[in-house]
Amino acid sequence: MIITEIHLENYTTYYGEKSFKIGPRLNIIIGENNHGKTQLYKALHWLVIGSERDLIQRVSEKKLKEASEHVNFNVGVKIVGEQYGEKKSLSRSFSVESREDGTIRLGKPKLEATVKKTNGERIQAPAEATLEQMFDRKMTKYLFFEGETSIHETFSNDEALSNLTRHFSGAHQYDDFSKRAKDLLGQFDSVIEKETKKNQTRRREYQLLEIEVNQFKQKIELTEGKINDKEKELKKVSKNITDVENQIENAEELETSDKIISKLKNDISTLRASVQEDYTSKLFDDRWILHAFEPILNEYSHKITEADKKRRKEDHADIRRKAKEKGIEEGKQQGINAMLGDILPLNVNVPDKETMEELIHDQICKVCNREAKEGTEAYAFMKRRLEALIKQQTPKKQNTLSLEEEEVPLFQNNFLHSLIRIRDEYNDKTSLLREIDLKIIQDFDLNKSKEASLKTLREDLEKAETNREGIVGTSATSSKRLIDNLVNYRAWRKDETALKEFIFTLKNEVDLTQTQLDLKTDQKQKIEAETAISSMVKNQQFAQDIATILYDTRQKKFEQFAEKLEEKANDYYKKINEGGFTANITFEVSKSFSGEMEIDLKLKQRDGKEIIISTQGKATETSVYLSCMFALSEMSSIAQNESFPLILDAPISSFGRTKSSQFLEVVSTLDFQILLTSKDFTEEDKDKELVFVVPEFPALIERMRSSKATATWVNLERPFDDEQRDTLNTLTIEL
Amino acid sequence: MGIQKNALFQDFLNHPMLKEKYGLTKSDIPDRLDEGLASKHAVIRGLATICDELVDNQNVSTKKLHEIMAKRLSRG
Repeated sequence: MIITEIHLENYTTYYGEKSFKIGPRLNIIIGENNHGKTQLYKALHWLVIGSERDLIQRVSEKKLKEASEHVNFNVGVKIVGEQYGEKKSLSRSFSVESREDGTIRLGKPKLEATVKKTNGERIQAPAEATLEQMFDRKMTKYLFFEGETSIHETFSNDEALSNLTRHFSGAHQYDDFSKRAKDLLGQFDSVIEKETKKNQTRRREYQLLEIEVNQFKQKIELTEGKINDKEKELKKVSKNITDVENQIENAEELETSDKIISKLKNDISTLRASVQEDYTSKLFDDRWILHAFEPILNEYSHKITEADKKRRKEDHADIRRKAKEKGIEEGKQQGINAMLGDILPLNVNVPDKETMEELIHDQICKVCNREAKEGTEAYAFMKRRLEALIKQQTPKKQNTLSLEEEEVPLFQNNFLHSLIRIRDEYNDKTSLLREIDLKIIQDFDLNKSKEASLKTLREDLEKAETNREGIVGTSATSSKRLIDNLVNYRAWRKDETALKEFIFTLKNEVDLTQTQLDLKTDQKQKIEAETAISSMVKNQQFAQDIATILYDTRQKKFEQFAEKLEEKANDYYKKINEGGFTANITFEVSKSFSGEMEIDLKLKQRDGKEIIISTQGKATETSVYLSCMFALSEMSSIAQNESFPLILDAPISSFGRTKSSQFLEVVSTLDFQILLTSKDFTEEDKDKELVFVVPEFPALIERMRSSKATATWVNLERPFDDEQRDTLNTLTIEL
Repeated sequence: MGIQKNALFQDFLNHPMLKEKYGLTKSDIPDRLDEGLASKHAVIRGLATICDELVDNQNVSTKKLHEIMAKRLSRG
């Protein structure tokens, strides 16, 4: 079937009546986005599929706005085509009634067909049947493609290719034959069984065998069904694995890299938290402020010691003076002092009372580490010191004034005493002061070493991040996809192993049951051969062989078709991809466990190594699938002596202008009809005021002229506001 | 649109089983379907019957097909 004309009436942006003249081969519809290309595609798809949903969206809003008063108009699409020497027209349309109250009533869409016979007679034809003739329903989903993605989705699914191959190879007709042959064989079996049962002698034995055979058959059928389902599942899982397998190494590297980065970040964070640089609190809370206090304390000690010495010296001089004046007892004391020479005695409270008592008790002077046995001068000295101390500590009686008490001491208040106590107290803490200094040094050193470690960690992190970027690039999406793929890959691997094991078990089960079935069938057939009419048994064997021949022929047809299809697809692929990426399309034929023929599309290097199609970029992927599509179209027209137009909306949007031109030149030589839309050959000026056809396009059209290619430009009438749909009117311009 | 009876029949006759199991030679293989229906070899008659009956009338019942087939196979 060849489309010769397309007419649109008030269909979305196609306001009024618009027409396209269509050639028998390549027809290119060019135009900017949202200027009507996809609407044309949708109109044709609607014509073939038919849908009553969202009709209002198919109505030209410009027409609706215009019909503000009560008015009726039609919305529809019509194609005129040629098939089997007859001119056929097919239209789908509905009426729109715009009422005075502002409401709109949409009529039910009607499909209509007329046929102009070879003798010139024009008749109304049954619309659905004509549609079925013009577009094979089974083929529709392989004739209409909206965008590259729909092509990818359809052809990356092996089932689609298997279905198409089955359809065009005629294998589907052999499917029917195989099925009928199987039914026929069942009928032969049934007749023989009936005949055998007439014989009473081995009836019971036969009946039991029959039950067992049926049970085994049912079991095999059930298990085969399970195997089939699981094999389909396995195939999907294996395909998923193959699709991502080449990314797994990267994904694993990425995972390792992420772990390293995460650990480094964690280490940096922990280390940074442990660097204590809050020196203000250390200054006060940890008393760092006292780190320079020791010289001050030393100076203080020195001064206090000197002052004390001075006091004692003067006190001593005073006592001597008084001793001279007062008599023997004091003179005696002074004599003792004289024995000591000019040495200043220690304060009477040094050592303290308890220490002195201990020294006396132990009979050892622990100040000079010498024995001071009772009776010795040293012992007597310690006793006197203790007595003097006790005497000093004994409270003086207020009212009994002795000669001594009447005397006023040189230093009435010993202020130095408390200063000495402070000195002694602080001297005891000198080691603590020195510890502060040590702590400061330690803390500074520790912080310094931590800063150095931080620097190293930061450098390592930078390196790890650079390495990570090398693995995934800077895109967050791609890294997420890689990690997702890795997670999925591991799950799929597990599933794959589990499925394989399960299928293996099921197959073993089938084999075992089949052996049992064969045994029982043999026994059953033996009885049949003995009891049934021999000609019936012979016919049954013929029927069995005929069923095998039909089944094998179906398989052979499928394989032959796939082989030719592969050859054609590669021819197209080479042409489309001339000078570009080289690889071979291969169709691997296999048979599912249930006996269904299947085809796997693969792309292989010359050395036979498989290349994952989806990883080769959108343009390569599209080229592969379009090559298969063209091969199928060509093969179908040979096999069925009939071809159908391919209607492709923006199928090559990833190609770019140069590759698109090259592609169109190749496609224009194909001997079947293609309607293709593209945005590659028009451009808007800077102000977006004007759209023009790029200068390369007329030359391209000229080169394709000999192959009967047509080109139409769809362009919105100006002025328009793309936010206001009621201003849109697509003009069609033949180029 | 439908597959041609003769072409289909010829496809079936290419099966190696005819030579290997039934020992048929080139001269035993008919060129046309009607020759096949009249063949002296039951398996050929059976294949021809399948093509003859099913291409024109796919709705023929299995029982009816069995009757025709049994008759044709037994004829030799």
